[in-house]
Amino acid sequence: MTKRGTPWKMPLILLLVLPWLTLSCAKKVVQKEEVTAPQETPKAEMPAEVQPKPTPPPPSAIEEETLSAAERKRKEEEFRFENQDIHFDFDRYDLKPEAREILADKAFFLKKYPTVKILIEGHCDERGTNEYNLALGERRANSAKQYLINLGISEDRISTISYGEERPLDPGHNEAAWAKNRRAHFVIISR
Amino acid sequence: MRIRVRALILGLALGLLTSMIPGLLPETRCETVIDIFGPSIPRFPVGIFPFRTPSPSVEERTLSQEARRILTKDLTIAGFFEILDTSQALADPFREGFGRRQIDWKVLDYLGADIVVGGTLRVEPPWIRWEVRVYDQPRRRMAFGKVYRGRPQDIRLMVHRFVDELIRVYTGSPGIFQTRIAFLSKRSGNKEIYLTDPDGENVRPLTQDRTIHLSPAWSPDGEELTFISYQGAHTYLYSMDLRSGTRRILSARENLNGPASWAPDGQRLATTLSIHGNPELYLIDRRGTVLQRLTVHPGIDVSPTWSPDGRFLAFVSNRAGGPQIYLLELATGKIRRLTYEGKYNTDPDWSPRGDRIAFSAMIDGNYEICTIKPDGTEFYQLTDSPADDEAPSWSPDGRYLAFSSTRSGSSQIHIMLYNGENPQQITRLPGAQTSPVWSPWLKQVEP
Repeated sequence: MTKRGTPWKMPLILLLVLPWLTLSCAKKVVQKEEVTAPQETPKAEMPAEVQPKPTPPPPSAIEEETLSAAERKRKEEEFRFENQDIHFDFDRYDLKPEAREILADKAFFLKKYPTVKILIEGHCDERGTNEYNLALGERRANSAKQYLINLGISEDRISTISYGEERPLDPGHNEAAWAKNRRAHFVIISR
Repeated sequence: MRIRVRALILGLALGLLTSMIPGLLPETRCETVIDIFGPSIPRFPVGIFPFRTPSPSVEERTLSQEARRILTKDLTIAGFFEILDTSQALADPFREGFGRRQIDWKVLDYLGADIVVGGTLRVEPPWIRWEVRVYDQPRRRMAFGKVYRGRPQDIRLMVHRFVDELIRVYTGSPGIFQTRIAFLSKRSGNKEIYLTDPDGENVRPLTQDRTIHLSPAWSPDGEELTFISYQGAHTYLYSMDLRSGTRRILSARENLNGPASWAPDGQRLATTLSIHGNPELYLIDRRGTVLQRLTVHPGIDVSPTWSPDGRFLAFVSNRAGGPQIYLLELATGKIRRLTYEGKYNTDPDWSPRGDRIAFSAMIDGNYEICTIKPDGTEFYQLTDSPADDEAPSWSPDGRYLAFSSTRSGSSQIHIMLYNGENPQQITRLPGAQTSPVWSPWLKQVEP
C-alpha cells in the first residue's frame, strides 16, 4: 500500500508544488530573457497536463518540464500572434468586426507579455496602383496600431511599415488571392 | 572650317566619346514642318537606304547594318514617320554618288518617299566615321547632312543624335532619343531601379541592393534620382548622384518617406510623409528638411506632381472616398478636385508643356492611361486594352508618354504619342517592369 501511495499522492503534491515551481521557473526566465512573466497566474489545468506522466521524475526534471511547457505555450501564443492577419476590403482601411476581435486577442497577448515589441506590416492586393497602395498599406497598418493603442497598448511598442502591393501572401490573380493579400500582418521584433 | 577643326582637336584631346561635327555638309532647313500637336499626326514616308561601306571589312558592314537598324527603330518609335521598304527600290539610287546630279531620282520617285536617308560608314581605327544625308525627295535636294565620328561602341549615340536632329528639322523641336527612362524591374527577383534608352536598348541596373525600390523621380537637371528603398523594417527616401553613383538619405522619418517629386526649381521636393500617422503632403528642401506641411486631412494624400510653372501640385487623395486627382495651389493652399470620371484615378504626371495631366484610371475593371486639362475639361482616354496600362510619365518635350502595360502578358514598358497613337513596346525583359519615369533633357548623355 505504501508503495502505491506515492503515485497516488504525487498529483496532489504536484498540484501544491507546481504553482510555486512555475513562478520560480518563470523568475529564472526573467533573468535569462528579460521577460516579466510573474504577472501570469498559473492556471489549475497546468498540473493536469503533467499528470499523465507515468512515473514522477526527480524535482529537477519537473522543473525542466514546466519550463518548456510555459515556453511552449508562449511559443504557441507567439505563433498565433504572428500568423493571424487581419483583412480589409478593397481600397479600405477601416477595421471589420472580425479584425477587431483579432486585435483584442493581440492586445491580450501584448498585455500578457509587456516587453514584447511589434511591427505591423500593411499590405495591399495587386490591383491598386503602386504609390496609392503604398499609402493605403500605411493607413491599414496604422488603423491596427491605433486600435491597439485604444486597447491600452503603449504606442512605443508598435512600429509600422507599408509594403504596398510588394509582398503578396498569395501570388494568384483572383479575388481569393487578393482577399488574402489585403491584410495587416504582425511581427514580434523583440520579446 | 576653323571651328570644325578646333572641335575635332578638342574632341580628340579630351577623349570625348563622340565628336559630332555639325555643318560639314551644306544644310538647308526643310520647309515642310509638321505640327505634331495638330488634331491628327501626319506621317512622312521615309526611305532608309543601307549605308555604303567602302571597304570589304566585316566590322564596317556590321556597323553599317547596326546604324540602319537603330535608325529604323528610332523613327518607328518616333511616330511621325512611315518606314518604307527600300529593298523594293529598283536599284541603289546612290550607286553613282551622293551629289544632286549623281543620285538616281527616278528610283526614289518610284519608292514614294518624302524623306530619303543615305550615306556611308567607314572604319578609321580607332574611330568610325558616319556620313549621313537626308534628302527632300519632292524638291530633289538635300535637306541636311551630318558627319559623326566616334568609337565603334558609340554607334547608338551617333544614331540617336542624328534622329533627334532629323526630328528637329521636320517638327521644329528635337527628338527625345538622348534621354533616359528609369523604371523598376523585377528581373532579378527584387525590385531594382534600371535605366534604358527610349528605344528599350542599353538597359542597365542602377541599383543592385536586393531590396524593394519604389517611385524613382528625376531632379530637373537630370543629375539626381530620388527613390524609396526598403532597409530592414524601414523605408527611406534616397537621392542618388547619377555621375558618381553615391547616394544620400533625404528622409528617414518614421513610417512613409516618399514618393517624392522635384519642383521645377530643383531646390524643393513635394513628398508624402506620415509624421502624425497619416500620409500627408509636405515640402522639403534638397537636404530633406521640412519646409512646409501642405495638406491636413485624415485621408490619404500621395503622388504629388508639379505644374511646370511651379505654382500647382496635382496629387492623389481619397478624401472623397476613392482615390481621385486634386490640384493644390501652393500660394493659397486652395485644393480643388480635378477628376470626376470613374472611381479610381491615380499616378498623375503633369506634362512639361503644362497643358495636360496624365494619370491611370480604372475603367471597366482594368487601368487605362488618360489625360485631362488642368481646368478639368477634355478628359481623353488614350489606351483601351483589357490589360492594365499604368503609371504614365511624359517625355521632356511632352510629345510622348511612357507607361507600363501587361498587354503582352508580363508587365513591360511601352511608349506612345501624347494622343495615344503609335504605341510601342520598348522593353522585353524577364519579370515585371513597372513605374517608368522619363528623364528631363540631359546635358551629357553617356553612350
